[in-house]
Amino acid sequence: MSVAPRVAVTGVGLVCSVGRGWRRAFGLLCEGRRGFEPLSLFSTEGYPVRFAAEVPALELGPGLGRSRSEALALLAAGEALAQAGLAGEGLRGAELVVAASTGGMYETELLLSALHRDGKASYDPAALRCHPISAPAEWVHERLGPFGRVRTVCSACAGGAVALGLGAARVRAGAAEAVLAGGVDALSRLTFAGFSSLGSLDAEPCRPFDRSRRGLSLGEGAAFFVLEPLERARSRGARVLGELAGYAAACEAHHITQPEPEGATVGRVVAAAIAAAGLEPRAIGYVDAHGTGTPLNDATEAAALARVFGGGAGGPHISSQKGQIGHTLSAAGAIEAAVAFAALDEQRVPPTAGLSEPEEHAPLRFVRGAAEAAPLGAVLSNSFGFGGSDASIVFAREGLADPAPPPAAPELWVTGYATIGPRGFRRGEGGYGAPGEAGSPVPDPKGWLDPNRSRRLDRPALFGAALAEAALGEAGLEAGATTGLVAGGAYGSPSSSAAFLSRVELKGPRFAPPAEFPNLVPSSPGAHAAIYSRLRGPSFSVSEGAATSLAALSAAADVLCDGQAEAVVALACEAASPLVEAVVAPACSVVGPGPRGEGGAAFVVERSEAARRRGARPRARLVGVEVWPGAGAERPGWCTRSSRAERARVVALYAERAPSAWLEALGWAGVALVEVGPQTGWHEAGLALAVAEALDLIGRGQIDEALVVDRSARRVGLALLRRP
Amino acid sequence: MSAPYVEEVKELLIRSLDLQGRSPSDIDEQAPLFGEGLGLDSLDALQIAMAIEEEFGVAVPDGEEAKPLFRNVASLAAYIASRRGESA
Repeated sequence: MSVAPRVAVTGVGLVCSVGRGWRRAFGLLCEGRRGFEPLSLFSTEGYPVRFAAEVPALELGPGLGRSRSEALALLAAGEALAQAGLAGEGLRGAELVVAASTGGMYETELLLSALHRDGKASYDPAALRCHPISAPAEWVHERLGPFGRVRTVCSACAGGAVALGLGAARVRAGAAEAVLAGGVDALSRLTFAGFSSLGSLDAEPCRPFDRSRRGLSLGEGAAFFVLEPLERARSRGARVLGELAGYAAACEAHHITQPEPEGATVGRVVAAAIAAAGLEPRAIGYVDAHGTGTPLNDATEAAALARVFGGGAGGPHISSQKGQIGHTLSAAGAIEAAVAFAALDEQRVPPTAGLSEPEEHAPLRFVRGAAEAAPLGAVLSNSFGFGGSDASIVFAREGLADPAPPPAAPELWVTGYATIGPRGFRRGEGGYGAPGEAGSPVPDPKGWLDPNRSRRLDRPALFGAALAEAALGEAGLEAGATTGLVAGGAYGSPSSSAAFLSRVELKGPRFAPPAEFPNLVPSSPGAHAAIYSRLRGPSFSVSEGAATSLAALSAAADVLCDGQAEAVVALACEAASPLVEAVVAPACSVVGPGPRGEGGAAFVVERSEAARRRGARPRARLVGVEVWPGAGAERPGWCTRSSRAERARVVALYAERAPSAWLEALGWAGVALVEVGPQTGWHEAGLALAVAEALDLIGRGQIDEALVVDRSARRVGLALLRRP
Repeated sequence: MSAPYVEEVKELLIRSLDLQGRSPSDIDEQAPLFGEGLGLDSLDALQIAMAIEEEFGVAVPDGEEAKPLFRNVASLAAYIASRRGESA
């Protein structure tokens, strides 16, 4: 039996306000450099806070990027690959995972706001191509790839860490020769107005863990890591800088913006990441804290760290960089991981700028004033995001840790599912009935949810919560700490974001509605669903254009294969949005001949042994699911048809995206094709409804297996479901 | 007849917090806004403060100063009345 690969780090890239270049920026951070300046990117008139941590001299253009996010991602990704000595065709077997929350928002927000006010305003559709949060990943793939697989994840401010955790999972699974994983976010009017409306911004550059702290400061940047199997790195002569030895993530399932009191989940995640590395807490010499500078975050994080490590001088060194580079949102988890890893590499820990007097109830070993030399064998980086998404990463010097291998490769079962579409809201099998109903209005999910617990949810979140709750009910699964959630959403809520921005423009920043801001974070439908159903396993979102639904199922499979959860609710939903319909989708993802619809589906996917233990029956086996870039020349081994043609179906959202020559190459020639778009409407969650149709056909005994297919010029998606 | 602004504050809460299915008569002006009572939280408090400033032109303080104002509907209404020079 082969041993699971250990995860070597062979390259790191970093861009932030204090400087470009991983080692150079780390040196400046150790000197205590603070990178805050008055904002130059947009007017701060009417704001009580007028500075941020901008990355200076970022010249956009065809070489660097169409948006600041793309440019930041390209700089950091390029540095990491160069250090690892990987390039071009050498990346065919490599994968890319990018965390992002803002995408090209800064570049498109004035246009969206103008279009929100006047739908007939003229614009260049090409300007929208950098808008989606998936754009930076596509840009890096285009400029530095080709990569064999590309993923965009969003878990708000924990995203960068989640991307590293997913990248490591692929290396551990033996699925990737290397993974370039990291996070990026650029400053934008939307996030600045949003955090301002929440009263979260400190009037001074932020002061993590200080007694007088008043909030966070915003920043921008990117960081990437090259992760690869240790043996492969050695055999190709790469310099191994250290190991990503442990990772853990969980959802607090508590509140969309407030951290859980006492940081119970934070403590659980920190301890789990250390245990995953096969280490004891005393082996951790440095903790790069999330440390935002908000009164609540720092108090709960300090309480959790004191519980895991014990307070006082014997514990690890602790610092936060947010008083130097600001809170860089989805980049933060990757940037701070890069800083923690540099500390390990250089055996010195950076200080916490802005911290002069720690709060008395936090007797921890904070590094203040100046960097300190320290003998470090292992370090830990914390990241927490909106919706209570918590993630911790442990890095160790080569050979020092003893990472627990992932459990044996599982058989994956779908044990429950639910759909929302023009035919209504439904659990399990039912079928869409007569065709020609695509134009029917999709029901309002409010009536199916507790009105008090769902009053803040917008339509995408209502879809997500209703679907997740129904799928869990259908699966008979009690929510708990071992159930995660992966939500697919292609574009977030551009109409709501534009309305928010337009209001700020017209009425001033004081009238930015605080309760609406959390819903503008792309991961919010999933976060609301996880909170509503009390799912406390790892929770994040994925975005992959028209193939978003299959990417959500694929990411759920990654999480299950890595043993991060026993069950995952994989869902995808899209709510009708005038701006998506008229502006964003035509520029970014044409999914079918129209009309665009709305709705989605949720699936409970479980490791079979966990499902058996609780006596659940499978609706179908999820034999394989994958989304990858390119025109579909590759054929995954798992997609072989095993039944007679008449007992199988090919299911597509749009028949034109299931060309017969391709199906023949996949070995599925002569199998009847079912096109669901005419019944479900065409939208980016439509493939989730195609998967539901496959489950319906299998559940009713009409067929033994179904291949869900989607092929566009940019991406290919496949999922194979088989009768149990 | 209730004190000035009580009905307006109830309507503002229902509208700005999307309190589905509630009418002003369901809301007890003396019931605590947070925890038991109306079950609101700090995010609601921020939204209420913004809505009061927008609708009544009255700035609402934050932090410790705000706590007594956010006790219940009656305290919010009294604050608006006092700031607008129309005490009951």
